Amino acid sequence: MSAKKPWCTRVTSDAKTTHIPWLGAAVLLLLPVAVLILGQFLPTYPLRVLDMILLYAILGLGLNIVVGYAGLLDLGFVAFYAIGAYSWALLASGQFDIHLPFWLVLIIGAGLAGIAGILLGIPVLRLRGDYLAIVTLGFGEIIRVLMNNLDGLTNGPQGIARIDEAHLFGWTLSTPLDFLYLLVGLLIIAFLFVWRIEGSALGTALSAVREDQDAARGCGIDTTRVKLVAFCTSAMIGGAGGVVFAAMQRFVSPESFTFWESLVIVLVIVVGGLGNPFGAILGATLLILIPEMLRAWADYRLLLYGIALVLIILSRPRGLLPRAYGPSWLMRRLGGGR
Amino acid sequence: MGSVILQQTINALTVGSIYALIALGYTMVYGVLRLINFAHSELFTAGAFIGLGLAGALGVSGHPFAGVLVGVITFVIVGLIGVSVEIVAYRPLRGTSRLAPMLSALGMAVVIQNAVMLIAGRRPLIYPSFLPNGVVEIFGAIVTYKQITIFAVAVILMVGLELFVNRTNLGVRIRAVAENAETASLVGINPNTAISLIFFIGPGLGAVAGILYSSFYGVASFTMGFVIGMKAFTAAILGGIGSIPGAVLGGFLLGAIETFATAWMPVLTGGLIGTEYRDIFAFSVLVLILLFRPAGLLGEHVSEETMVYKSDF
Amino acid sequence: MLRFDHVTKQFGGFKAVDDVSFTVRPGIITAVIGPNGAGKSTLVNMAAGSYRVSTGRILIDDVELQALPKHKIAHAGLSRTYQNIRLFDGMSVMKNLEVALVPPSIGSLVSDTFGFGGRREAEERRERCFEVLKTLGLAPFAERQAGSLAYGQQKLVELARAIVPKPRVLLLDEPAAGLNHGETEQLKQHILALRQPDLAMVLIEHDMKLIMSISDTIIVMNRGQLLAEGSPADIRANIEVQEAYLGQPGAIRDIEAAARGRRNRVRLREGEGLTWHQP
Ligand SMILES: Nc1ncnc2c1ncn2[C@@H]1O[C@H](COP(=O)(O)OP(=O)(O)O)[C@@H](O)[C@H]1O
Ligand SMILES: [Mg+2]
Repeated sequence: MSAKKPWCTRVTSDAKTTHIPWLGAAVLLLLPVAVLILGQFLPTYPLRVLDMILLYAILGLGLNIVVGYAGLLDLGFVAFYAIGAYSWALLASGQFDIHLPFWLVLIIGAGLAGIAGILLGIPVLRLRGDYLAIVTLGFGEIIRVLMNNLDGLTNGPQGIARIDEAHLFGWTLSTPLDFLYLLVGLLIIAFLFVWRIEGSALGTALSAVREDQDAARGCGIDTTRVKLVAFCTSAMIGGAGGVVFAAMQRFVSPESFTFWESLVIVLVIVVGGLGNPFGAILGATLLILIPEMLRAWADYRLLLYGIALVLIILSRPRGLLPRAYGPSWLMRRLGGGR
Repeated sequence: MGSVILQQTINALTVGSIYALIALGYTMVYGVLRLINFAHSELFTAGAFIGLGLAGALGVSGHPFAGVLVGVITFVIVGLIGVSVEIVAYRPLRGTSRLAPMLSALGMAVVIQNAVMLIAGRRPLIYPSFLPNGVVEIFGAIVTYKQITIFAVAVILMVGLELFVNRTNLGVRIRAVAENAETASLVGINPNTAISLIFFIGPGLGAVAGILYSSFYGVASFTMGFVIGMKAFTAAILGGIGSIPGAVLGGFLLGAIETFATAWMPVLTGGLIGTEYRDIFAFSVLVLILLFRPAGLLGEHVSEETMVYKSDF
Repeated sequence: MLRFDHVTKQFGGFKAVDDVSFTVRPGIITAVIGPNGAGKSTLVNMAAGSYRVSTGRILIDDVELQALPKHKIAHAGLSRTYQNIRLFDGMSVMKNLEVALVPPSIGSLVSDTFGFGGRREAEERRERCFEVLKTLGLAPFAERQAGSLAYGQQKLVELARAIVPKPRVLLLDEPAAGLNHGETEQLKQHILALRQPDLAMVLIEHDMKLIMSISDTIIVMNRGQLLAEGSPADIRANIEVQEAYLGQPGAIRDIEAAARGRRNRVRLREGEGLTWHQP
């Protein structure tokens, strides 16, 4: 990290710029390093769980832009994830005998998801709050039904198997540990990206939209366009997550992209703390770990999961890590500022 | 041709009745609390299964009078469940944020669905028909007694609800709270009573819809609530959420759109779009309608002008 | 320069603003007075794009505002405050101000976010906000959550948010309502300090003492119509004349009473508050 990166600057009350609080940066770096070290010692199965946690943290960060910052409840996020996943499944498999490189599909998948985000956004972003929730939910279902029925393209409910192994500049991604490296890298990128948004004019505009849309427009913010940007960036992160998911599973089918999946991602950020990048990580950890730990109860698993959710929300309606305690706060605390 | 269309109209009225009954629960809760009660669809499922259990326990089934008895008891049981869900999972969150109660509702949906699954099992169950058998032919269209009964029950319940809300003291209170909870409490109406009442009636109606639905198709499965609930919510939005007549209109409209689209789309598109797209017609129509009328068909458009007005006065 | 040109606003059959024309010139403070329900806020809401104009035109220089989407009205140089505070409660005071400076184009927004050279401008924007906070004495609250401030401070933050983008037209809708004496005095100083050659300022108020002491010209409205326009001295005389003529003494007192009522945060409803000029 260079001292010139804008996301490391902050404004103190006397409007002077100070540079990286090194301690804060070190603490932030410690986390991924710790995860990677932990990964060296874990057997395959827990490693897979760890991969899933990271993947959901990435998805959570993406969805957070729309739900946490802009305050729009998007219940169809899984559609973007699915678009990403099917991008890899179709562009790197025997399905049409196309075999594009992983990095390229990562870009294509994110791009397609972003375009879908804009196409969905144009009609729905005029709607107020809850209507948006149900229309996005419907959009998620539409995408799933399409995947189920466009047999010629997607193989329908059977899904697509025989997906290529991913290679990234000569590095073969096959074991869960390989993916752990990839995911940690992507998580860091997504984290910095989202954090940057938060501190930028875009983040300010999104917060204003969340707080009072009409007043925001009165202040000169083109709310529709700003929301579109949010929708698009969030969808791109979802798409990228989908590409990684498909590369990791090497099998995709519509079953992986139900409403339940959207729901889990929403819960990740709500339980963790809306609008807080750390919240997405904590939320993903809990929401993936809890069902894993409940595995022993088999049939009772989801019931207990539901109860746990309600209890968490009842006891911490604003999430475990409230908005104000994000990375900027950590930097301020550790950077020796006021 | 004429009889085909008549036949489809009748089918549409049947599905529409069920959507409308469920949509009422969504719209009433939304009207008062601005909450999408995601647990509602699972209460619909629970209603179907409780009806099934009652039929077994009481040793009645297959008879319309048994149906009325089971319907009433189920209404009360599920209504009470609805009331408790609100008290336990939504009331403590009132005034925190918009999202928290909605997610709590999602959590409750998971809980109820899985409770049903644990008790009734994963596999779909054969459902005894509480509806009378037989058919009549009207201008070449076949109408089953089941369809007639479903429509009649739905209409009776809806008219009853309309009378209750508009003509009784309790109903007026509900409307007062829906209009403005603060003002209502100023004139001595306890909003909690009204809200509990809504959480009694809404799920009760949903439960009856569950019995009707399962009786009609002859099966019940623990996952059946999700899709139908989503469509019913769509219906509520179509009509304008918060509006009771709107929910009824939306329900029947959605039933019609779905029935006709499913029947005609394959023909019109030369088989390109088949019946397997049935479930998404509803949403496509929803998106289209909201494009032109962002507040639904009967909904009052909340423009910035009214928002400013409300905040200024 | 802001110009209302035969502007009418109709709510159903009711004319809240009825064929009103006047011009607000830069460099001076134009006060708009009148009883509750006269249509003053409606004027502001129409100019700012919150309400659609029924008939007529509202122009800044030669730009017709009613044809612009609301956010472009702000870019055209119009800022306003609200009769009932509308801050972004959950955001810091600083961020509240920054909202008014968010770059208008998506291109600059994206480049600002991802840091290709937008950094300098971002820094300048923040400095500008901080400068405004300092002049209004709000600097110590820069990082506080806007919603957590006292009422008077929130009103000042709203004023700050309105002046941060250096508007050409500033509409203040009852800025002194609910303020105590000391706060009103401070506000007066701030408003006077804002007076500059290229800013057209409109001040809607009930506090007659404030109005008489700082405005250069006064417009009187009643029931949607423009009753009178003139210098403070003229208007005072005019009101007194009308009082005498209509046999309704104490109109000014009534207006001030209304202001006091607001101070206690009692909201007057249409028909409930004072009546004025009743035939
Ligand atoms: N959005 C609206 N819908 C209906 N009537 C409105 C609306 N806004 C204002 N009015 C009416 O217009 C009249 C003028 O209101 P307003 O401009 O707020 O008066 P004031 O001079 O006190 O600011 C009032 O009678 C008010 O009831
Ligand atoms: Mg006013």
